[in-house]
Amino acid sequence: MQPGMFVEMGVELAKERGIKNGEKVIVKSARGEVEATAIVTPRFKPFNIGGNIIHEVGIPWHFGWITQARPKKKYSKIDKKPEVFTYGDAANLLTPTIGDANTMIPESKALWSMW
Amino acid sequence: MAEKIKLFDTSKCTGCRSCQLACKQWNQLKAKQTRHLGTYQNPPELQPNTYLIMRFQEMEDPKSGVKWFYRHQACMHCTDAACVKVCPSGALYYTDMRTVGLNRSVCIACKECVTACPFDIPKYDDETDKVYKCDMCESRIYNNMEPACAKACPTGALIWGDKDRLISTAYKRAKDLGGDAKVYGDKYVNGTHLVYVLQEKASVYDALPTNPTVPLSIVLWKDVLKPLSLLAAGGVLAGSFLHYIIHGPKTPDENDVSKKEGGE
Amino acid sequence: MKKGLIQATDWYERLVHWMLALSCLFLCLTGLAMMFHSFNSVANIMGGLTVTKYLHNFTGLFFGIALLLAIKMWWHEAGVFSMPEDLEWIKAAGGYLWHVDQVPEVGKYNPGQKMFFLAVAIFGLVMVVTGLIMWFPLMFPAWLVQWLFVLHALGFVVIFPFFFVHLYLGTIGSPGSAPAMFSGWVTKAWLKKQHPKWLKEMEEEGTLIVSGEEKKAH
Repeated sequence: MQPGMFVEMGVELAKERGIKNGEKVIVKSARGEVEATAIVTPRFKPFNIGGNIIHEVGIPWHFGWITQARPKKKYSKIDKKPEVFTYGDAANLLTPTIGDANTMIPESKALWSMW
Repeated sequence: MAEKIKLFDTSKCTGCRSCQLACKQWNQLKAKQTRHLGTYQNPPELQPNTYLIMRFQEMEDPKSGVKWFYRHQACMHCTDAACVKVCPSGALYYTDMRTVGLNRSVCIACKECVTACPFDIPKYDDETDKVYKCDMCESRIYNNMEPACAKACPTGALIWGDKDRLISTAYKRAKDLGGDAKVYGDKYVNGTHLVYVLQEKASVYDALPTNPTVPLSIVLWKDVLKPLSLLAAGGVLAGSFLHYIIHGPKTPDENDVSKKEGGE
Repeated sequence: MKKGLIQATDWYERLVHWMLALSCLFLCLTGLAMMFHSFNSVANIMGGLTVTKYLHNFTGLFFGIALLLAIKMWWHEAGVFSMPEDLEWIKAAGGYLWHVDQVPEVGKYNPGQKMFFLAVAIFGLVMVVTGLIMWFPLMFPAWLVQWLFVLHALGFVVIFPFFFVHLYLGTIGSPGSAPAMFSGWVTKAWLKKQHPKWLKEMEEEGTLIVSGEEKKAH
């Protein structure tokens, strides 16, 4: 339903960074970066925590690059060839690769980014 | 058959888009590659392969804060449908349940319906050379089932039922919601079969005409000029015949001395 | 050929006329087949309504070309009214509807024919332009295309009566006229009755072409 990776952010943050709605942006963390389309929305409001303005952004966990048809891949008759390709970076590029010993559920779903 | 409508209550919609998905699945419509444009609305407009989309619209009001509107956009199934009026081949027709059906095998792709629709619903596809739109799941409603979208809706925002009962439900709901909430659709084009309970004025919603009617040009064309053309054609044929038998032809060798009567 | 016949039209006039006439008739027929649901079955002769649509559109292009040729050829003779004689003729309805003692002498084209020419020239162009836009309606704003439907229908309402009256008067309504557009030769008596002024002009200028006699330079 979503054609690609996106990041939702507040109007104030977008103005600060000169980001327009629909523009491709890069979200970085200490561990990696992802490319996403910006959704600038009034639904995200900055927090004022102890005098500091903290902006929140939201990215979905989805995509990855497995669905992109590789040009040289040969599809056999029983293969289900995707009609369209929604692709994008996976959010896991931003999070530490640390998970629970038994279930591998990632340690952190929220992360702090200065970028 | 009791007349039924599909009622969409914007106040109950969560924008989950199950309806959009169900429509695609039931009608076995293919997907098309799109691009992210900075909104949840995808595809951005109705397409030949997408009969229904959920429209997302944000608004910030200093008094009431941030509002996020979801609108279920699909064929309104007008009682007085401009598309049925203009269709030259009869591909667009009124069903017994007063929805607007589309028989694509008869469609000649003149695209007059695309031009005439006040809600801008029918979409033309270059590759198949046909026009596409929602048909209110004709095969389902004729078998006592509700349209696929209504079946899929988890909150009950989209319901299918008897026209009179649902219209009164809609008015009651609009009254309960208060503010600018109103019922949209029952008063236009002699009543649509997709009726909305809107939370704001119709002008606030994008791509929603505030006073949709069958365009005046279409009425002039079909209700005035079309019969007039028959009258003109028949009249001139009859007139010429009368002229010939009453007045007679103008021959070169006769002198106009014999008494002639007027004709035409 | 009988001796003493006078040439009324040359091959080019006849060619353009028939290009225009036949394409116009075909356009009317295919147009009516699409316009009225009860006539939809007429399209079956041509292979269905979709085929009819394409035939109508392409014939429209052909009609457009023929129309431009026709306008270029005839506008200065048939598109210009010479007053006050033409008005007198119109007031007397050319002697076609009621008895008139003296009909004003008519040149190559009588005012009735001139009105027909103007109707076809103007509304024919309207039909071609509106038709072209209706062929590709998605490239234009919807409100504009909607009004072009009205103009296209109006064009038919205007053109068809003129077309049929022309057909009637060119055949049974005025015996002796039809050969002008088929063989191109008419009798002197017919010319004297229908277009006496033109006959006089041709005799004076020496442009009269009579069959069986020496061909005069023209």
